[in-house]
Order: sequence, then structure tokens, then C-alpha cells
Amino acid sequence: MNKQRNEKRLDELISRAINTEKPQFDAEKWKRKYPDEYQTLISRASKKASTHRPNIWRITLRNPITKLAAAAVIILAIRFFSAHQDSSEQTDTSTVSKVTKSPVEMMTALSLERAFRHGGIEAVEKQCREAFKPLGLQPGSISIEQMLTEFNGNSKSSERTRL
Amino acid sequence: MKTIKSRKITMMIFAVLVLLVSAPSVLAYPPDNAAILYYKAFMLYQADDEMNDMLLRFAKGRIELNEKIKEFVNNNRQIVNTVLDASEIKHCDWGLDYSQGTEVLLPPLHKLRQLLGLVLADARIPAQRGDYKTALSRCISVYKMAQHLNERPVILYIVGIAFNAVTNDCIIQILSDMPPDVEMLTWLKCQLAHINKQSFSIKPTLSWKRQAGIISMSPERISDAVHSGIDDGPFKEKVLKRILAADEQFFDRNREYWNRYMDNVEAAFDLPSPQGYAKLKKLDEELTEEFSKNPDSTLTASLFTTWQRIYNLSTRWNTHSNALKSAIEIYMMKAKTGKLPDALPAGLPGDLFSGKPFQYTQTADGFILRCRGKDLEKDEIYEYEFKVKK
Repeated sequence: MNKQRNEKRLDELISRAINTEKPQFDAEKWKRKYPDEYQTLISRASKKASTHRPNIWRITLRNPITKLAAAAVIILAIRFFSAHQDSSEQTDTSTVSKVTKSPVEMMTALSLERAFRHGGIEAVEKQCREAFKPLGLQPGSISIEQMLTEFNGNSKSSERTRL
Repeated sequence: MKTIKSRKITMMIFAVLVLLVSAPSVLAYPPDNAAILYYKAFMLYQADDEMNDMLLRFAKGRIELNEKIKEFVNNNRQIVNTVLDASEIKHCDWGLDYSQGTEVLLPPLHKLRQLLGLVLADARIPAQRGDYKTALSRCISVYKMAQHLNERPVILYIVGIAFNAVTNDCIIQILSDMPPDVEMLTWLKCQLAHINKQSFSIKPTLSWKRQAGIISMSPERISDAVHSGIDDGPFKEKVLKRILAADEQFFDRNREYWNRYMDNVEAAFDLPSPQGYAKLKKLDEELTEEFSKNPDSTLTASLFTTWQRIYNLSTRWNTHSNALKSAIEIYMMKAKTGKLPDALPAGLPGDLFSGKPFQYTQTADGFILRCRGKDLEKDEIYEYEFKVKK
């Protein structure tokens, strides 16, 4: 029931965003571009819905004392939660984005500012290094013996080709 | 018929003349844009982490010169020359597309820092054999490189400050190795005064951030900004939900809020420390509080910059530079009179954390300039040590 209502609300928001003529937030495009974030958003909504048990609540809340006690608990819980949430929301620098970013995304001004917030200039440097990291295997240092072996191998194979 | 033929000939002569006039400027070296040479150096220069670390530590005077450093710097002579040539070019256009708002792509900053280590190591090597003019000239070139970084994005400003701070350290080391010499110190003082004329300022950064924020606070661009600027977590989730439910008025109101916020940030940067720092800290706290109850603050909170930290870095670097300028005056007095002054001469630039002159103390091998005000972020009072060569 709740899940359906949530989905309906989300659909309304999305369709309202799509059907207007003026520039609006393109939710469909956003969903395609950032599927991980969309899934996070949806899964949180569905998780909340699936843990909801309306029948038990309906029975319990018929009692007026239970109603009062429940209201008090809810108010206290909201106060406690919002007090902690507000102070931690913006300064939550311990969470590192789980979404893998492309080198281009890592080199934007805002993305590098975020790195600076986390770990200062060293973090900015690390992110730049990561963005410009060459793909695939890198040639390591090679010894004289290895070079000779390689050279002999190549000359043998070229001799073979000639033969 | 004749007229057409003569017109063709005239056109051809004109084309040849244009080519002849423009060819030298096209082929000339160095180019008129320093960024071309920097990008060239970025592509050619390779150094592993160990070497980068060693070069920077040597530049700051933490380790002594060794054969490994000498050989590495010599092998990269061409890169050093390319960077020095770039630093002498007045114009530097990094080719940044500012129409992208906060999503503008920046140059490879790690490469810049690597080149900083290389050039400053190359500055300290001649100082070790007594060629102080070459050594100090290299340092002046790095200040010029930092000026090239005084572009609009916040991160470029921060990297520029880091360049200036490390160069200050390198000059302090060279001055400590150098016997006080009036001529050389006067030359250095003039060079620093010339560099200071082209002020290294936060102003372009603040005005860029305001404009970039406005560009990014649009229905077409906001998702990219949220994606790259905020970590996954409850804050991001709240922002995304508000954006999903947004209409055009939401973006208008958020842009208005942003403009008011940036007015306050700019005003705070005009204040001296510690008032400026306190105001920026308060703005930060207010924004955190506002976010939970006012949807108009959503996008400002999303594009949040740690302004008080940047203000602090700027104060710290300017104080460091003032200590260096004051030290040059003290070294000059030592060169002229043969002894260090008993007290700090009047009229020297002071500690910007307190707005007061430095505390001056003589030591066994030189002198110390100590701040009177505290770095509020690090809860630390800085002191700068200068050695005098006997």
C-alpha cells in the first residue's frame, strides 16, 4: 500500500518534470546517467515500505494510552534524529563515494574541491594521479640480462623467419 | 579580361604578404601562451613518487643534496628549461571551458606539483656551489608560475598558494646558506616587489565561484554538479529528493539564496583575521542549519566550499611572505653593519593572524620571527627560523 503510494508519488514527480515545456529537471535522463544513485533512492523508499506492518499498528493504536505514548516516542525520536542528522550531514567527510567515476568526472573543479575537503592538497593530487593513471600494464625496469635475452630471442626468431 | 588578371595578381601578392608577415609569429619560440609549454612539460616529465618526495624535501631544506637528485635534475634539464621559459611568458591561458560552470575540467595538477619539485631542486643545486643569483632567479620563476595559476577555479588558487609557500621555504634555505650580501639582497627585494605588483588574489576565484554556481544551478546541469560534488549519504539523498520535486521557481529561489550567500562570503574575505575567519565559520554553520528547514538553501549547500579553510590558507601564506620580506630587511642590516639588529625595525610587514608586528628573537645561529596571533583552524602559533651564515 505504502510502497504503491511512494511509487505513484515518484511517478507523478517524474512525469511532471518531463511533461512541462519549460526546462525542468530531466529525471529519466538522470536515471539513465546515474543508475546507482537512482537505485539507492528507490531501494531506501522500498525498504521503508516493506518494513511497515499496518495491521499490528492499527490494533495497537486503538488504545488511547498507547496512542499518547507512541506520539511521545515519535516526537522524541524525531528530535533526537534531527539534532544528530543536522550536525553530521554536511561534515560527513568519512564517506567516500562508492560510485566509480571516470577520469573526466574526477578532473572537474567541483570534484577536486570535494577531494580537497576530504584530505587537503594531497587528496587533490591523489585524485589527479588516479585520473591520469595509464591503462593496462606498465613496463617495469629491465635489467641488462633481460635485454640480452630479449635481443637473442628476437634475433633467433628473425633468423627463423629468414630460413 | 586584363582587369580580372591584374586583380588575381594583386590577390596573390596580398596572400603572399600576409603569409610572410604572419609566419615569423607562428614559428616563434617561446609561444605567446605559457600554458602550451606547461602542457608540453606535463607530457614529457616522468618522476616516481620517491623521486618527487625527495626533490621537494631537498627544496625545503629537509635533506641534503645527493648524487641521485643531481643526476635526475641533469637528465631533465630540457624540462626545467621549458618550464622556466613558460614562467617568463606574461599570458597564460589554460584553455578552460568556463561555460561548464563548476564542471569545468582542470589541468593535471599533480604534474604541476611534480614540476615544482624539479624546478626548486634545480634552484638549490647552484646555491650549494655559491651561485645564489641563479638559485634565487629560479625561485622568482616559480612565483611567476604561481601567478599563472591565479586563474578562477578554487583549486587552482589553492595550488598557487602551495607553490608560493614552498618557494618561500626554498628562499629561506638559500638565504640561510648565503653570506649576507647587500647587492644580492637588494636585487631579491626588487624582484619580490615586482612580483607583488601583480597581486595573487582570491578575487577572481570568488567571482568565478559565484558565476559557476549560477551556471550549475539549472535543471540541465544540476545533476552533474550533485554527482561530482557530494558524497553518497543522507545529505546527498535529501538533495536528490528535493531536486526531483523541483520546479522552475525552486531553481530561481536557490540562485537568489546563492547570490546572497556569495555576497556575505566576499564581504568576509575583505575582513582582517580573525574577524574574517569567524564570519566565514558562522556562515558555514548557518548554512548547515538552514539546509534542514529551508529548501532555497539546497543548492548552495550542494556547491559548498570550505571558505574558512581557504581564508586561513591565504592568511597563513601571506604571513609567511611577510616574514620573508622582514627577514630580507634584517639580513640587509646584518650585511651593512656586520651585526643583527637588537630589535625589529619599525615599518616591516607583520603577522596577519594578529595584525601586529612579528616577535623578534635572536638565536645562536640567526633569528626567529614569531606570530602573535593563532592559526584558529590548527590552534597553532607559527614561528619562522632564519639562519645567518657567519
